[in-house]
Amino acid sequence: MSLGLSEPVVQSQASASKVRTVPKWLIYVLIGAGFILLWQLYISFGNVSPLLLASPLATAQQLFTDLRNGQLPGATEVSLQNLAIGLGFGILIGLILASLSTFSRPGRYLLTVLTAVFSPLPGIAILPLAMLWFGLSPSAIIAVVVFGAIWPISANTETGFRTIGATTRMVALNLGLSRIQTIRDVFLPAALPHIISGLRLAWAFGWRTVVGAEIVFGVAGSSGGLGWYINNASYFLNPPAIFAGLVVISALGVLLDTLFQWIERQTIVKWGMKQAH
Amino acid sequence: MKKHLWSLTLMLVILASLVSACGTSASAGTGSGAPATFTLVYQPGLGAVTFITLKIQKTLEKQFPKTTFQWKIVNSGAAVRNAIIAHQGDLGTLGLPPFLVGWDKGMDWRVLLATSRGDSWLVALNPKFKSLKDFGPNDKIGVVAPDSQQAILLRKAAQEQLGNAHALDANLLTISSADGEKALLTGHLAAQLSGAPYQNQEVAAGGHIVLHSVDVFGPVGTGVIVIPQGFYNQYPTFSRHIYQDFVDVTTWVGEHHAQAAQYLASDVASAGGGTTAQFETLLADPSLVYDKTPSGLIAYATFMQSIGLISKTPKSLNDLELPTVLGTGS
Repeated sequence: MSLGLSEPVVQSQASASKVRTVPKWLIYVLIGAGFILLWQLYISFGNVSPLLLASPLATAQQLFTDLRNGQLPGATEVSLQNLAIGLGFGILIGLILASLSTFSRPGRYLLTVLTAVFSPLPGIAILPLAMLWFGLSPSAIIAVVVFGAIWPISANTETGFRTIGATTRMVALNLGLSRIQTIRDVFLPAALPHIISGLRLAWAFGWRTVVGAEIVFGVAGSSGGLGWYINNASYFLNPPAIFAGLVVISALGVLLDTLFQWIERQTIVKWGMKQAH
Repeated sequence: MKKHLWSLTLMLVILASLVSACGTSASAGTGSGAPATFTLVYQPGLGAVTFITLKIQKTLEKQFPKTTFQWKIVNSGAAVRNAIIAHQGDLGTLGLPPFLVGWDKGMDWRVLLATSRGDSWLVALNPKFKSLKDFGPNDKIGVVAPDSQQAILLRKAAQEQLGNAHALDANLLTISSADGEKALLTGHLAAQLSGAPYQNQEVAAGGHIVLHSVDVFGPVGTGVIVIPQGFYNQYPTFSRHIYQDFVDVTTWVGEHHAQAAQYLASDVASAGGGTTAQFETLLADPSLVYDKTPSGLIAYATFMQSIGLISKTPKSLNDLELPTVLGTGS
């Protein structure tokens, strides 16, 4: 008896189900391994100048050396520290702005104007100003990260607050909660999906900004961060170190994103506020 | 599956094309022993005077009318080096350390001639900075690049005065000379080690000299003009002409301070800004000696190798110099 499916469709579904049996992580690993293999083959047989492109092997060697001698861990610590402090302040200011906007008309006008004016500015564009105001120190980099983090946090949190249902608002009112209690116990949990989206955007902006600012800023020495590490490697004509720095930046990006996904699973997915993907 | 393979192959071809494009030289011969295009890369400052003079007087264009000459200004020796690696420059001028870093990493370039010998100063505004011992961990010192002549000089001075060549590494801050001057005068930098005219302007604005470069390495060269060995081999006559033009223009500058100062004042982007009178005074400074003979190459290489910034030292000057100056200097 025919089920109404043509033969190629059945075949395609069958092969699709086979693909589905391969774990996702394995597919990712295979793609990565294939890319690295092609990269190494290109270096080995492409007659490429080592001054232009480092091989995966040279990159791995440099990565290992600089992890062992403490250069990369030190630089990573500085970059993460700049990011964490900047994000911390950015989250705090963003939440305050979103709360003001939710509970007062002037606050809403203020956030609308500030977001419209400042949100389109890339964080790195205000680095020259930050250098003037905060001096040639990590404070300038942190200031730029704060600036970059405020807008996604405040915009997303504000959207989250505004999309809270009338029933939830009425419950908070009937319980006689103060404004701070309402924000802390009702609004923040209810707006969590939006807040986490804002956080994911903010850290991604912040991470790029930190590395970019460190490259532009060029604070030398042990307090330089990963951007400085790459820049320094460029000054000393060391492509394997440039690539090693890029690998660490990318790996940390993946790790941080995974951390946010985990937080999502442990909170909003678990509570049924968002579907797992 | 075939479709995926095609996609991957296409991606690889694009990647390969991009990387190959980076190494493609744009220069093609004119048939008269000269390239079709010739790009000179230099850094702003008093040391650019020979480049500015050649550019304004159109000396090269008159000699080689079929060649298109391009002049590029970049902010550091590392940028000069990158331009030559990427075939965006055929001739460059830079300090001895960035040249040695390139040579150490296998760049096929050699010294066509030297530019000058002079004295660079570490200038501070705050009177508390009398020697390197007075710099605390938060006192930033501006240098144009971590591999610049000034940065290496500071490490040698730190080795002599503080017992550790890397004692001030965390104080170094990479900043262009022009921006560094502003940062020093607005209190964002504790000190700046650059060159003329920036150092002179800093002193004129109330700064004082903490360190003289001649006290560290002696009266050695401040820069070299380099071209790739391959280019020299391909265009030997043209290269020797260029060499002779630089020798001649150096002599001309020495004999025509007033006219050269006018050129410098008229080209703010290349010279860093200043009046004709200021540049005339700087050109007449007896500590600035225009000298085509490279000096200090071995001294810098030996020190840089001793602190791990390069992996080897030249066996002799022949490893570093083109026939125009072969075996001369130090």
